[in-house]
Amino acid sequence: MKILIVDDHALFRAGLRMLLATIGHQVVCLEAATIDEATALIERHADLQLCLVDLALKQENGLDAVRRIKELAPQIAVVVVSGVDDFATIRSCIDAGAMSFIPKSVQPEVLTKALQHVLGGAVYLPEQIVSTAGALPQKPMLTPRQMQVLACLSRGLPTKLISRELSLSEHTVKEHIALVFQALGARNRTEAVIKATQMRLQELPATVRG
Amino acid sequence: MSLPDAEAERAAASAREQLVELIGLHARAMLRMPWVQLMLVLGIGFLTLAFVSVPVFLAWAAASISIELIRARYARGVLVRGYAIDPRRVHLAFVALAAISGGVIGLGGTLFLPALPVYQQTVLGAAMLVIPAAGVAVSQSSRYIQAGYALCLVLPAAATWGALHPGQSLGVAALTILLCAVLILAAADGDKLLLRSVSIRHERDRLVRDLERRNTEVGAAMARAEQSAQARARVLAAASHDLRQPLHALSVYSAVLAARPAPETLEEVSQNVDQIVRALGNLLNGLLDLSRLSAGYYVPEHQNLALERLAADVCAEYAQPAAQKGLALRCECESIRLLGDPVAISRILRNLLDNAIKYTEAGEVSVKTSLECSGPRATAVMRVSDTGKGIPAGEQGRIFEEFYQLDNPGRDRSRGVGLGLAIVQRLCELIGAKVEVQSVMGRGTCFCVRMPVELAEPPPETLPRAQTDAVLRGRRVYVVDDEQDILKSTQTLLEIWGVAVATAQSTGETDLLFERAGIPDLMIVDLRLGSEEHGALLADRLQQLHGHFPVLITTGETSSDALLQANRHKFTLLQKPIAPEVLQRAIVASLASR
Repeated sequence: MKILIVDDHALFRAGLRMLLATIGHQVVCLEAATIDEATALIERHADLQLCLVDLALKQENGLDAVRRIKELAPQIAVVVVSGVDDFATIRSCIDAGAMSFIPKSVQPEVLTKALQHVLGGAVYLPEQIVSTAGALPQKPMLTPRQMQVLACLSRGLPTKLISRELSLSEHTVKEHIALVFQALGARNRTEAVIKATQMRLQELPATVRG
Repeated sequence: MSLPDAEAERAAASAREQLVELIGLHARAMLRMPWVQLMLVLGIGFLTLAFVSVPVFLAWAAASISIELIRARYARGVLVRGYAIDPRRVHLAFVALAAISGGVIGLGGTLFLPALPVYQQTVLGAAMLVIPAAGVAVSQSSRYIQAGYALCLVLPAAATWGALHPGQSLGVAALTILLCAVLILAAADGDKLLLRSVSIRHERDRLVRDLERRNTEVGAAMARAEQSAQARARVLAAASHDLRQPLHALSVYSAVLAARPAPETLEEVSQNVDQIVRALGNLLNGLLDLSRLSAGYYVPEHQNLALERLAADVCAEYAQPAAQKGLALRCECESIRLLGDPVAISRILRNLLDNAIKYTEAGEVSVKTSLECSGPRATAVMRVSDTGKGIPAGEQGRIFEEFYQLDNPGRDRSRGVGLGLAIVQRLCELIGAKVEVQSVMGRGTCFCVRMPVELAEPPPETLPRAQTDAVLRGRRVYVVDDEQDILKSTQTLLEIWGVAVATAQSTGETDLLFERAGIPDLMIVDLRLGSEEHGALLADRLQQLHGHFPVLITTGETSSDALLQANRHKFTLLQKPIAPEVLQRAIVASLASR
């Protein structure tokens, strides 16, 4: 699995690289300190699957980095790893197309668990977001197909890519998305991702994929 | 200024203002006086014209009105000039004019009283006593103006009355003295009242000024506090990011360790953790230092110190790091003794050197100290220059900000934490020094710290060093003194200046010296040589014997025949004890005069 780490702090990047290499199987890490470096690497490595992005890059805004990466390669799952962890920031990250959000301030074991989540292709959002929902609504019954569509949505894939990945027509995908939104009570993708996480709809796969 | 001084100054200011006030009031009254005088002249004319010679009366009337016109004109001039006047002189002029005016009216008494019948005499006499009473109002409480006017008016009139009525002269004299005394006292009372009102006004003005000043002070203090709070908030904001970052990194490494990494990863982890911990330690130390400096806990010391030795010590600490980067580290330090804080100065130099070495890839880093004297103030200048890449002009103002780092996008903490120059700046403020930066892109940067020094001793040389060196070096000077210690110390001092010295302890030894080595460029000889022949005589004899050479005579005496002798031969005399710089100046002057 090829992973790109975008962070301006060299020692932090090195630490993430070592952690990913230790907990993942056959992980290859690329590192970038700026958006330009990141886009150059993405253009050269078509097989990148995951991208970890810091929000506070020296002179640049990490949110722009998330948008640029999603424009350039929508199939890459983007995970924001940031020192800030307020709700508005997390929302805007998911709005921009991020799949998960890992605060840098979490305890080491939580960090490991979160990275295992994202390596496994699952969504990770901070505990406080998940628990702010109050009384959890009834877990909606989604068909396996709808679960697949939800997973693709979480990864920030556009409709066209979802239809290609699931071998469905775009029209069918759109119908599925509408049903998923309805079932979750969400108006858009961001709300759907957050609600699905709050409802713990996505289980961590038993084995972490390489 | 001590309190009594301030008190005295305020009193003097009040007295001056009182005088100006009084002059103004009096001058304004003077403007009306010609009309008053005209009435008076008409009244006296009505009373006397039937009995006295008309031309005499007219002459007197003209004189009387003229003097009032002169007073009025002078008063107008004074009023126009306002505060530009010298109040004492103007006051004196007013006193004189009042005396003349009074005198002219009094003269009227002398002229007319003898010609008048008793009734008219009585009326005129009474008028002569009443007029000065009206003068109290006009004189505006100056007892001097009042005294001049009243005495000059009443005395001639009273004397004439006394002469006309010898029987009443005693009574008239007593009455006159009493009247004048009462009038002068009345004026003096007014004087006191005026002074009081002026000083009350002064006091009020002072209170208002004090209040305004205190308001300004409070405003400034509040602005300072606000500024300092903002600076602290800024530092804290920057610090919170810079403190969290290494903590986040440490947390990742902790996670790596918990995940049981491969042995080679373990090694890298330990290296990186070590780097992070060091950076974090530096950052914390820097922050604590900075807050200690900002909070005013640091009180600079005033120690006697040798700046060049301090600089050399700090340079020695950095020899190793400089050598590791292949940089030449030079320390060219002029000897400077000053009163200062060695800890603060070392820290400033250390931070500057640290920066210079960090940001220079090739070439050299140098430290120079020098003394700049302009007028009575001396400034010790410490320069740290490098051949690094330089600081862009736009960023030169920001480099002293906390956490500002040049060209370190990765915020790589092995390159420091960005507090060094902020600490330099703060320390400079504390010891009253100024730090400046000059930089040329691609050429290098020079930090210059200027410390206003209280010199531990007066500047040793008043003449430019190079100049004195050129004059003194290699000159042959004979020193003659019967005291071994003085001979030795003078020789040592002269040899430091590069002078070739030969010494003699007696006239005999001196003669021998001249026979062996000829005449010197200069002879320094003590007046008392413990023999019949004193220094001046010896020098004179040797000059006659061997030809002219410059002579400096040293002496501890202030008057004696020997001194006269020395003077007669026009030898330069130096009074013991002789300060080195005085001796040097005298030697240079003697050598130059040859």
